[in-house]
Amino acid sequence: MIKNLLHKITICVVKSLSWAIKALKTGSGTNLPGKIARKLSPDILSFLVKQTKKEIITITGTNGKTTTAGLLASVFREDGRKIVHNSRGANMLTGITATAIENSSIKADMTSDNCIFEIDEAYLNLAFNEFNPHIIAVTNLFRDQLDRYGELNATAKKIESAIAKTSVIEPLKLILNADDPLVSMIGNNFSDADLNKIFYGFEEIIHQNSEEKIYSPQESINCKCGKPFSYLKIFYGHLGYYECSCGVKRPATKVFAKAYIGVNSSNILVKTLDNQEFTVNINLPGLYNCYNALSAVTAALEAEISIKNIQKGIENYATTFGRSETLKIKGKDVIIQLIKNPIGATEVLKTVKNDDKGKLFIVINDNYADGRDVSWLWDANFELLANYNKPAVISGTRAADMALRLKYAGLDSKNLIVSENIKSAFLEALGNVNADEKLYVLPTYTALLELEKIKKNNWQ
Amino acid sequence: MKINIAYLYPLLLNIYGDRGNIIAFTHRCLWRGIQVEAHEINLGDKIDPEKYDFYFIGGGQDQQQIAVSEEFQKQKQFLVEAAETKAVFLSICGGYQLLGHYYKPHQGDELKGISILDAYTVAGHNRFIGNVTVETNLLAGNVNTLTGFENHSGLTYLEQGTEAIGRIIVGNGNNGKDKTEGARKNNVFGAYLHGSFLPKNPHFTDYLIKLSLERNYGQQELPCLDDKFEWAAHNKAVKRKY
Ligand SMILES: [Zn+2]
Repeated sequence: MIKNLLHKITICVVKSLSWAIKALKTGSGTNLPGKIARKLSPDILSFLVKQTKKEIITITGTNGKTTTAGLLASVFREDGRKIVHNSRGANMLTGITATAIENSSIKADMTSDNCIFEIDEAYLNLAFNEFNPHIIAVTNLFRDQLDRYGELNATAKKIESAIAKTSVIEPLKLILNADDPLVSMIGNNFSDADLNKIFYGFEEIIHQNSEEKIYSPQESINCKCGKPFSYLKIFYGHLGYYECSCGVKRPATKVFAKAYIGVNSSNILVKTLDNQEFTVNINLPGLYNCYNALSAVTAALEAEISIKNIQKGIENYATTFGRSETLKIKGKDVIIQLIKNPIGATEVLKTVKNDDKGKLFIVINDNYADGRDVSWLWDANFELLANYNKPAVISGTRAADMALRLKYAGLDSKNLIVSENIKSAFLEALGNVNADEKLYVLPTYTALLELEKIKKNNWQ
Repeated sequence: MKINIAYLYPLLLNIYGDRGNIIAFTHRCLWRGIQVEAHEINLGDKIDPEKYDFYFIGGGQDQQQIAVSEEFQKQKQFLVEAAETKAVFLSICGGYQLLGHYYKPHQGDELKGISILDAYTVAGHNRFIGNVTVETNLLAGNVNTLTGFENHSGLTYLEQGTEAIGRIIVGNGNNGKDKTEGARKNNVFGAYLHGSFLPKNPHFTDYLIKLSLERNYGQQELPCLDDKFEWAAHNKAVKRKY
């Protein structure tokens, strides 16, 4: 009883604080409410999440967490479910706690059907101290420019140790990208009684434009036996059909698909082992978003959602700010896509390259949350833009590095406009865009947060 | 004039923008009408010491570094011959460690190097991650700073016969103690500088190009380039907070 009272007080305090923050327009991305809540009632997250009626689903991996979780939330809403979802990419414990409080009444009731949480790879372990998930989906493991996690294999091990903490009565469903050798190996040491591994992957990728073979940055991935994998097909990064002479290879998939990639949208033809077959339209650019969609489709199928609602939910998904979101600003089309590592950025650049009417605004910051090291700009294939012959505006704390990268990628220096102040640079870039053109905005994480502040101020 | 580049084990050792060094070196040659051919050397490829003027090797993860250490023992005599015949080497991070005598990890066997630098490396307990600025006296009459980003836990110590490429102004460098960064013995260079290193240190890139040309063509003057963007990036990184 006393415990419950404490939770109620915490919720009241934090809710009023959140309103105050909103009223002051200090912008999102603040983790203060979550921090305070966890100070006041350390077990508040656990208390609230335990009230969930159906599945608790967590999404983790290097790239695509926010979009995959967003697609899945959209599908669940289409199914009429009441969900709790950390939609703004606040994927550490403070962000998840704040989300749970936002969704609970002042009586400390969180009457929701499902929780859909994206969780940073490094925080999964801590999160599972506080609640037990029923489904975990892992999107991919790429090298981030973020230097904090060290090696890729170490990240896979972190996810495994988090899984080892969970204890649900039903076997935990682990949804894995079969095309990623590091992801597909996760959980190999667990028994089938504890862990139900469900694989998804692509069989074929068809690009409507550009058939040419383009260089994508690649991680050299070694098999557990120590030898490097060889590939029969590579889709992007280290995703594809891999095998090792010791017999390890890409596992058979339960959900598999063909992707047809357009300029700003795609569709995937999904098939399942139990002979279901359906098409899903994705109003997002690039192969990377097809992977996000297939991951969401697989998780939704495991939660027994109808195909009709899956299709509708994905098709109607309204993007999260900065994740392939298309906006109309001052009458002009603007698409904002976060970039944070070489493989992800290269996939985004393919879209830009294929759009003759696209102009560029790139914002590179080197704050802690972006990764202090800008070396990754040299691993991303900016050479894709070699024929881009229009002005490009470059901003952020490391604008000079970005401009230099574009010069060496073959762009004409005369077209490179360097301006460190993000707001004035954005307005200049927007001013350069004609009515029939589109502005592609590619920010790093903290640059995206700054853009969101400018948005709150009506792009002034 | 032409320079043949040997890009050593790019499938294994290639992280944190190592590729940027090849891009910068190549472009700065081509812009001056110097032909360049970059050859990727992979596991099992025999190295022809006469053919290549400039060798580049980057950094990588532990498993990949072990594979290269083993391959290096098979190629050692050719690489030593190349170094003795004035070929230029630039090595970064993990590759740098393997040009010395050995790398001793916390657990497991020593990884043998090829000893074309008088240096050895032992695993440290902390990872040095941050911006680095170095003062060098290799580039007489030019800007004397070099800048990059370090990300390593190995501690490298230099022995007699090999000097540092510079003195640390910001960062940890070779071992966090003696204020040295990188190594140089004749035409063989090693550094912990990612960033990428060569693009934003155009004076050092040109220095390596000159040394690479010298092998076949004697001393050459390089025509000037418009380096406005290069220096803007250099100046942004110099003395940047660790
Ligand atoms: Zn194997």
